[in-house]
Formats: sequence, C-alpha cells, structure tokens
Amino acid sequence: MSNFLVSSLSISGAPRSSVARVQQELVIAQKEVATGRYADVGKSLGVSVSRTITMRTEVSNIEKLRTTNDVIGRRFETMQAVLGTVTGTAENLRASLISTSNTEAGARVNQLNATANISQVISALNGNFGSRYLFSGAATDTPPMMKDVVDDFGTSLASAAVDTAWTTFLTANAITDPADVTDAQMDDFLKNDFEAVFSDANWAANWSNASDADATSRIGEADFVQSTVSANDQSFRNIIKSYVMLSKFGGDDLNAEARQVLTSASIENLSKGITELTELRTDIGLREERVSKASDGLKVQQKVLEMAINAEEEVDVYEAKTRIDMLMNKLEMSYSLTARMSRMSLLNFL
Amino acid sequence: MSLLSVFNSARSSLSVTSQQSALVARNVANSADPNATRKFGNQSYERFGAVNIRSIAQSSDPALYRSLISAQASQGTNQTLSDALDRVRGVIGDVDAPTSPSASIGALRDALTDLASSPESSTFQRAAIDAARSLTTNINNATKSVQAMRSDADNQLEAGAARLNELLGSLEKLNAVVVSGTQANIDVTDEVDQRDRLVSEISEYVGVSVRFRAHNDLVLSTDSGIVMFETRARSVEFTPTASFDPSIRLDSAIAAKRPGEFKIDGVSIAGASTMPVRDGSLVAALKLRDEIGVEFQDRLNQTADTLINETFWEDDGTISGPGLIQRTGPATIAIAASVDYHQGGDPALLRDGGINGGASFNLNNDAGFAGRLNELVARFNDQHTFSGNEVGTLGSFTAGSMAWFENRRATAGEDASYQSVMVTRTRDALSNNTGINLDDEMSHLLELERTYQASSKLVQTVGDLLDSLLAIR
Repeated sequence: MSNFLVSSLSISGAPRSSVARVQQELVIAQKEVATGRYADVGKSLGVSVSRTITMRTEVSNIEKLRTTNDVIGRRFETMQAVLGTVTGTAENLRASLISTSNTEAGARVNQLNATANISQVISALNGNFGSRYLFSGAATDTPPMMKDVVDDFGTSLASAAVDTAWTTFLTANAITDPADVTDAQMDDFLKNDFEAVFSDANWAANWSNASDADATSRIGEADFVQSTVSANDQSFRNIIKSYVMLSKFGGDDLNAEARQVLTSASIENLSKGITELTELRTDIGLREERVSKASDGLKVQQKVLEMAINAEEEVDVYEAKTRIDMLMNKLEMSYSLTARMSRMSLLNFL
Repeated sequence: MSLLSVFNSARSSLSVTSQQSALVARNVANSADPNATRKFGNQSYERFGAVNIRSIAQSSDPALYRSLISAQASQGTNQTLSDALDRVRGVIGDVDAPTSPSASIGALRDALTDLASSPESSTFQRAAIDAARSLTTNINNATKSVQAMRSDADNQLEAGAARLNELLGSLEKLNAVVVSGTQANIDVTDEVDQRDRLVSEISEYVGVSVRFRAHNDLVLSTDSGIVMFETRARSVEFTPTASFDPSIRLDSAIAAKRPGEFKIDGVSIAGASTMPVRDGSLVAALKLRDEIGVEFQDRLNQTADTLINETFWEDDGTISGPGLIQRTGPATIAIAASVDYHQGGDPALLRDGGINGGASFNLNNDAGFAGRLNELVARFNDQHTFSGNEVGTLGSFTAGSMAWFENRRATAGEDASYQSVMVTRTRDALSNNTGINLDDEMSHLLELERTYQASSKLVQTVGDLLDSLLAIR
C-alpha cells in the first residue's frame, strides 16, 4: 500500500507531456499569425469547407471572366477607333463631293481621294487585335479582305470585274467613247450592271474572306454578347461601292450629265453607308456597355465572395499573438519547474 | 513471556526488516518502469509477538486499469484514422491548394472560359488542354493515394495479426506462471506486471475486456465478446491483399476481388460480423480499408464519370462518344490522344468537336467558333444526380467530397487528441495509485533502519541480560 498519491514517474513525466503539448500549440499559433488563416483549415472547419471551396472556385472563375471581359472590351474599343476613321474619311469625301464635283478639277481631286480611300477602308477592315482579325465574323483567323485587293486594288480581280462590267455595257449599247454615255444609260449601268458586281456572291468571290457567322462570347454566368463584326456588313459594301464608282468613272471621261448621275449615286451610297456604319457603331457601343456593366457586377460579386471566404477561414491575428505570448510564458514556467523538481529529492537531506 | 521470547521476536523483526529492505530496493530499482507497481510485504503476527512476511502483494487499481486499456483502444482507433487521413490530404492538398480535384475542375473551367473568348488562339487551346491534363493527373493521384491508404491499412492489419499472435503467445506462458505461482504462494508480482503490460499493448490493437478467475487466472476477450485468451491463446488470422484498386471491395460479387477478413478465434471482427469490435487500431485500419477509402474512391469515380459522360460527352445529334476526358482503366482517366498536342493531337478539336471521331459542331469551320466552348463552360453549371440522391453541380459535388473528407479528418483528429489526453491522464492516475514514489520508499527505509536499530538493540540487551544472569556465581 502507498499513502502517497503521486508516483515519482508521474512527477517527472508531468512537465514533459505538458511541454510537448504547449510546443504543438505554439507551432499552430505561429502559423496562424504568419498566414492570418487557420493553421489547418480543414481540421478547424470540418464539413463547412465545402462553402469556402465552392466560393474559391467561384472567385477564380469570376476573375477569369473579368480578364476575358477586359479583352472583349478592348476589342470593341479598337473596332470603334477603326470605324471612327472610316466614317471620318467617308464624311470628308461626301462633303467634298457635294461642294466641288461640278467642276472638272474638283471631280479629278475627288477621284484621286476615292482611290486612296479604297485602300484606307481595306486596310482598316484588315485590322487585328492580338491573334484575331476584328472584321472577319466568326472566321477570326483569316484576314477579311482578299490578298490581291489588299496588295493593289488596281490589279485585283475585284477591279477587273468592274472594268469588265463597264466594257460589256459599252459594247452592248454600241458606245465607243465614254463621253457619249447618256445620263439615262449611266443610271441604268449603275443600278444594274455595276450593282451586280457587289452582289453577295460576287462580294464573296472577289472581295471578302469574312464569315457571315457570328461568334458569341460569355461575359457573365449566363450572359452572352455577340463579339464579332463581319466585313460583309452592308455599310462597308456601300462605302466601298461609292469609292469604286468615283475612282473608276469619276474623272473627266464622262459628259457632265452622266457625271452628275454618277456623283449623286455615289453621294447616295456614301450616305447610306455612313448611316449604316453609325448604326453599327451604336450597336458596338451598346455591346461595350453590356460588357463593362457585366464586369462591374462581377467585381462586386468577387469582393463579396472574397470577404465571405476570409470571414470563414481567417483567424484573429491579435488573439493568436496573445496566445503565443501566453504559451511562451507557460513553456518557460514549465522549464524552470522541471529544473527545480529534478533537484528536489529526499536524498539531498539524508 | 520470557527473555527468550523477546529474543525470538527481535530476531524475527530483524529478518522481516531485511526482507522489507529488499522490497524497498526492488521498488527503487523499478521506479523508472512505467508498468511496474509498488510491491509491499504483508506482515503477520505469530504467537508471542513474532512477525513474518506472509506474502508479497502489489498495489493495484482494477477500475483505473480498465479505463486505461479502453482509452488506449479508442486512442488507437482515432490516431490510426487521423494519421491515414492526414497522409491522403497531403496529396490532395489544403482547401486552397491548386491540386485538389475541385480546384483543378475550376481551373479547367477557367481555361475554357479563356479559350471561349479567343477560340482561334492556339495558346489558349493548349492552355485548356494542359488544364485538362492536370485535372486528370490530380484525380488519378487522389485515386492512387486513396488506394495507397487502403494498402497501408492492409499492411497494418497483417503486421497487427502477427503481433497479436506473438503477444497472445507470451500471455499464455506468463499466465501459466502466474496461476501456478499464485497456487503455490510464490511471489509472482513481477510476472503480473508483465502480464498487465501485455494486455495493455493488446488493447492498442483491439478493444479488450479483462476478467479474472480463481488463482489470478486471466481471461481476455474483445470488447464485443470474441474470446482471445482463455487458458490458451486463440488464433488471429488475416490474409493480406496483394494490391488495391477501386474494384477491390467487400461487397464485390467476385470472391477474388474481396479484401481479406480479420478473424480472431474464427470470428470476423468487422464488416458483416456478428460480433463487430468497437475500438482499436485494427478496427480503424479495417474502417479505412473498407469504408472510408471505398466511399472516397466512389466519390472520385463519380466525379470522373460525370466529367466523361456528361460534361465533355460529345453528341452532335448523329454521332456521340466520350470527348476530352476518357477512362483508361479502373483507376485512371486521361485526356483523349486526338486532342493531346504532346501526342501529336490537334487541340482545336476542343473547339470544333470530333475528338472521338465524327461528331462536329463547327459546321462552317470558323476559327472564331465559340458555340461548343460556351456550351462546355455552361455545362459546369449543370445539375447532376449523384449516388445517394445527392443533387448538385460538379463543382459543388467535389467541394462536398472534400468537405466530407475534411470532416472525417477533423473528427478523427479531435477525438485522437482528446483520447491522447485521456490516456495520459489515466496513465498518470494509475501510476499515482499503483506506482512507486522514491521519497516514500526512502522514508520507509528510514523507518526500517530505526526498527533494525531497535531490534538489534533488543538482541544486544537480552544478550546482556542473559550474560549478567549467567555471571551470577
């Protein structure tokens, strides 16, 4: 029997096991202070980690959508800038047509401008953003305007088609000198034979590689926007049609009446093209706005989610710090107790 | 009374004192042994005041001893669970780790979102393929680690069976010594200490209940009542399984695909057992191998199957088949070789369809075609019905799997740390009640010294008295 309620083994073992436990807690508290979140989130939260895991994937998806929205938005901006210059040059030419086309000198200047404008429109339409052509519709990897048109309109198939239409028309009406073309004949030519050169089939054959299909892009969880514009749009065709008209026939070959018909037809086409282009730009502007609104919404959503994740996983750093202080005090106390107790023995007094 | 009887008493006192001193020396020597109990001599008085040591006894506290072995058994259960789950989690990663199945599914979705905004970009196409590849790798790794956990548990069971047979064999020998010693009234206290130590070690493997019969004869059974030792040791049998894959499970219809049962005395200790054992590290190992491992694997398989058969399944109305992700074995999935640019595949098929040959979505062959990609991204939000009527998106299901796993781990970890405190406390209490205190022994030695001095003084005095009697002439 023993009257003592403490054995020597547990006296010497007690400080050892408490030191081990305090040291374990110290490691945990140190990690929490350093990272600001639970040392072992899974162990601390248990089943509710499903919330933070889902929220975390949501956040990463929102971040991704925001970056892709930025890209889509910048594409629209580039489109707007390109279309802005196209509209600008078209408007300038129209103004000059209205004021100066009845003089022969004016007509020659306008013809030169129109020729220059053709290549301006064509190179604008072939503009790209990163790896992607902006006006190809869904065929984003192909330049929308054909190579020969881009290289030199004068030698292209498209130009040849116009010339053929003109010579065929002259032969059919037994005209040898273009100056003999009457205003009625000119009107007939522009409305039928010339118009046919710009039909859908001929446009696709001689001018454009662009696709009529649209591609849509995701800008939100279930929010899509049409992200492509096609060079096959009527606005571009009308503007180019008007430029070609002036460039081919706008010199001093025609008589005054026929030239008058040509001028008014080209002003008409140009105006139509400008109006359509403005509509297109408004449309793109609306899409831009949708993208930026969607991004704003996503940004708010991301903030909320991030705060929710922090609320779940974060620890109070101040609390963790005071816990460390406390644990260190405990540890020191434990060390000095161990030292004292190991010196304490009845043997020292016998 | 006579002088001679005084002399006799003093002499017996000297003999008892030296025996007691021997006991003190034994106790002092044992003071550092955690299993040793304090030994003490039972003194008895004979006629005329003589004393002798009738028997050697040891301090004991059966109630505390019983709670120690049951606490050790539960600690064995929880510590084994907690350690194994921690190891698997090391592979799957923290809840914010990019390697977890749910994070890699999110990463694939992000890569597809990127690609959908620039379908013509071969860089983004390759990035999406890479994301899919790391998703398959991560799911395969998770599968591998779960199967490794099951295999480790199986090894633990094999080692446990061997160790238990060894321990029960030693128990048989020691118990025979104790019983015959008790019958012959020989000091067997050290053997009893040893026997207790064996039982305590056995209790770490399986929860046990201990009973004693006449002559300190021990009967050991599991906490569910399967006899482990009764006069003779019962056999512990286990057949290890060579390798583990998801098809090896207890409910398999093919006998060769069922993992080995753990039997004591011919009775299975877990699973479809009539006497399932509650606690112990072996029970935890069986649980890891046949319940937790199987269920987590099942969840991984469902995730993989949903990716293959729902999310990336290609069906253009006429031709249908598996798409980007395909199954390559019972435990492995991989991305289709036809899109894998490492294997000479064309990553653009992700946009156009036709990964499995045939099915096509991009009818105009437009490089900017985003319809299929947008559909794929949208499919991540589809609701699926998983086993157990769990309805949710793929993301929420994998997050749920992680949560299920983390919850298991949290519970096991908490229980393990609670039980380890319990074991420490109980062991301390038991040691306090039955163990040795050096100061106590020393002061006892002082008493003995005084008694010895007094007794020898008595002998001397009686001797003097007798001398003076004999000196009378």
